[in-house]
Parts: sequence; C-alpha cells; structure tokens
Amino acid sequence: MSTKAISKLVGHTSRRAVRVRLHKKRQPWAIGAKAERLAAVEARAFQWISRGRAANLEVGSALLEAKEIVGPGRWQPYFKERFGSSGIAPRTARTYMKMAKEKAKARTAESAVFQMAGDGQAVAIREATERAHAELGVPSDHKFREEKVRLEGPSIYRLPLHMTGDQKCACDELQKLLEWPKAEQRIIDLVKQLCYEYGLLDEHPLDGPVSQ
Amino acid sequence: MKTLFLRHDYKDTAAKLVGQFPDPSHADLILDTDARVVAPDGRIVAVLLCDVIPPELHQLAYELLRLVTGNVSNRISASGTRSLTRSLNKDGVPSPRSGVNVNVLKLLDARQGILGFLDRPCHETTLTKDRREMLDGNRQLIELVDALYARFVPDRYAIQRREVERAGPSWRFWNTVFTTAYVAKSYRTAYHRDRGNLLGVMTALVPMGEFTDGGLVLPRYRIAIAFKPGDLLLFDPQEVHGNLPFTGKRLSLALYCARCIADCGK
Repeated sequence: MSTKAISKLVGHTSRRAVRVRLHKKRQPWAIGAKAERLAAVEARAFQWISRGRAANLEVGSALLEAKEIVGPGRWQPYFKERFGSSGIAPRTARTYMKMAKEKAKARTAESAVFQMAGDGQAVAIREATERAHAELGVPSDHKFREEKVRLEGPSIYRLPLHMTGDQKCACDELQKLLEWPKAEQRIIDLVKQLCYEYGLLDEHPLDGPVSQ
Repeated sequence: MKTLFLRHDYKDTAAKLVGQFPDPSHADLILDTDARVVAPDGRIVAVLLCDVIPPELHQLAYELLRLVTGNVSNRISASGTRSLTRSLNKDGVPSPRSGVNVNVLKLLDARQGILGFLDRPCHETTLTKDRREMLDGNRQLIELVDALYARFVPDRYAIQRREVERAGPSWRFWNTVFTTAYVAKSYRTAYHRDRGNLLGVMTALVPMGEFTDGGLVLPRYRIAIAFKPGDLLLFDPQEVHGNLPFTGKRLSLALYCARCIADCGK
C-alpha cells in the first residue's frame, strides 16, 4: 500500500508520520539466528564501505589534480571524454572531489597548528645547520664509519677456528710450551701459504725471509 | 592542587616535531600554578609544584652545578639541528665524528654534565668522580625531591622504587629512587624525548638561576609549563618536550632513573 493511499485512509495524518509508522511496523528486520546472520553481513558491508571511502578519496584527489591541470572551462568535456565510459557519473565525481578537498583541508589545519619557531635563536640555529650542511656536502643522515686501522708491527689476530673441546684444550697446552714461538711461526707460515694459494698474497711465503 | 584533564591529543603531529624549536603558539594553555595534568587516556603527564624548594637549596645547587663544562655535541635533536660532521681540521678534512656541528654549538652556548650512574655499561660518571661535591652538596635537595615525588605521584614512585631496589644501594643516590642527574646549563632545547630513562616513571626537573620565560612545552597536549626557581616539575620524559626561549641565567637539574640500572645489580 502506498503512503498516499494510507494518508487518504487516515485523514489528516501527515505523510511523514505514516512513513514512520510503516517503518516501525517493519521492525525488526530479522529475528533469532537470522538477526545474527544479518548483523554479520552488515558488519562485512560496513567494512567494505569504509574501504570504499578510502578509494573514493583517492579518486577524488586524482580528479582534483586533473582538473587543475586541464584548466578552467574545459573540465566537463575532458571528464566526459576520459572518464565518461568508466562508469563514474559527473555528479559522483563531484562528490568524491568534495570529499578529497575536505580531507586535504583538515590535514592542513592540523599541521598548521604547529608553526615553525620564529625567534632569533631558533632561526640562527636552523640557518647555521643549513650552512654547515651545504659547506660540508654530506647528507644529514650520513653516518661516518671509522675504517679499521691495522698496526704496522705484529699484534694478536684471532682466527675463527671451529674446533672440538679436546682440540681447544690441546691448543691451550701448546701455547704454554716453550716451543710455542716456533709453533706460532709455523701457523703464520701456513696461513701465508694459504693466502698465496688463494691469490690473496702476491709474494710466495718461501721467497721472503725464512723463519727458523 | 587542581587537576587539569586534557581533551586533545596531537600525538602524531607532536612526534613529527622532534628536532624543531618550540614556539609560544604551540601551547593553548600555560600552566603556572600547582597542578596535576591528566592526559585524555587517564595517565598523569605532569605535576607542577610551585615554591616547594627552599631558596637556600636551589641557590646552593646553582653555585655547585654551574661549573659543568661538557658540550652538547651528542644531543642532535635537543639542539634543533641535524647530524653533521662536527668540524673541519686545518687541512679542510672533515672530522670523522658526526654530531652537532661546531658552528651550531657556538650559537647554542650551552653546557651539560651527568652525575651519578649510567647503565650501558654500568659505571659511575667521570664528573661524579672528579667533582664529588656537586652531588654530595645537593643531598638535601635530592632527598627533598624524592619525598615530593613519593607524595604526589605515589604509583609511579613505587615502580621506580622497585627498580632501584633491584639494582642495589650502590647504584642510586642515597636512599632515593634516583640514579642519575642530568645538568643542563643555558640550554634551550628543541623538541626531543629523553632516552635512557626508565619507562613509565617520571623525571624530576628542578630549574635554577635567574631567568624569565623558557617554559617547557608538551606539544602533544598543547600545554606550556612556566616554571621558575623554587618549583619542581615531575613529568613523563617519553613525551616530546622542548623549551621556549628564555633570558637570563638558567640551570636545569633533571633527576631520573637509568633504564637498565637493575641489570647493574646482577
């Protein structure tokens, strides 16, 4: 039954009041298990609506930019030609653009809350930083890493050798022996020999001074 | 004491301000009386206690602490600058060390020093060993601040107490909850967060000297705290904060608990 017909029946009652009554009459939309299912479906729908809003904002933002590039007076023919077949009606596009404009305005308002400090010291430090940055020519986030400095003379070098417990114990004992200096030299010679074999040393270890 | 319930929270915007100097326009509200400031999420952000430090204590502290000489070359964000080569040598070769550039340091003309204990690695600072009187001479002041902290923010105090008890008595100032004291002389800081402080507790800030203006701004809540010598400010140092420009001589003593101090007691 249409609202018009109902209003005729009830005489003086307004159309709005009738619509409200009809609306109330339709409640609830579902009961029991159906109500639960309906709630889940609605939640899913709202989720997609919110996702859609983000997409609509992006569309609106792109269209605003396009409108600025195209220039005044040419927007409508441009839109019709380029986007007419995409399924977005001009009115819908206008809504999206309005949404994007409002969002951008809100964002600007929040960042404008904090203006850059304009007092003498703040300005002087900002300028000195920029000057130093320009003079030194290094990126501000550049991290200097000190290069490894190798001492000229002999110093301790620890080899990362994977050995069993027994081997480590034997090695400890070896270092305690009086013959350790000779053993150490033999290890160094062996390392040199290996470096030569792998092309890391130009000079053959046996060509240099021979160790005793 | 009045309690101020904050309504607005500019968390994201405030985080982006690190390294910038505060401006008076960044605060909608200036706090200059006894007050407890409560964030929209219910946390106590700051407690300002006015005229609670007797003049003889803060004047003595000023005389003892004004002799700090360390430069602020390691405090990049707090100096409002960027990480740059510190200087050039006489041959024009850049120094291998980065930090606050010497020209910026000259403009800042600030000095700093750390008294007490640091946690990574666990040690007593050189300044404490060299100038023991800086700490010992301020015992009464530090103990008074400790008592006020316990009285006005008891829940946070309890957390800090537990932590220093775990570290043991050799890693704190007497029987207080403070392990470390940071002294800043004539240092107007840009927005920064304090690092190395125990999380979830307060830092006690004691201003000294003769100065005007120079309030502490918390941009996240758009409030400025206008303190003066004799006041005590307890605030959450994890919130972005910085100072407005000031005139005169100013020294700030920040008492806090080092983050990993409990590990030092193991």
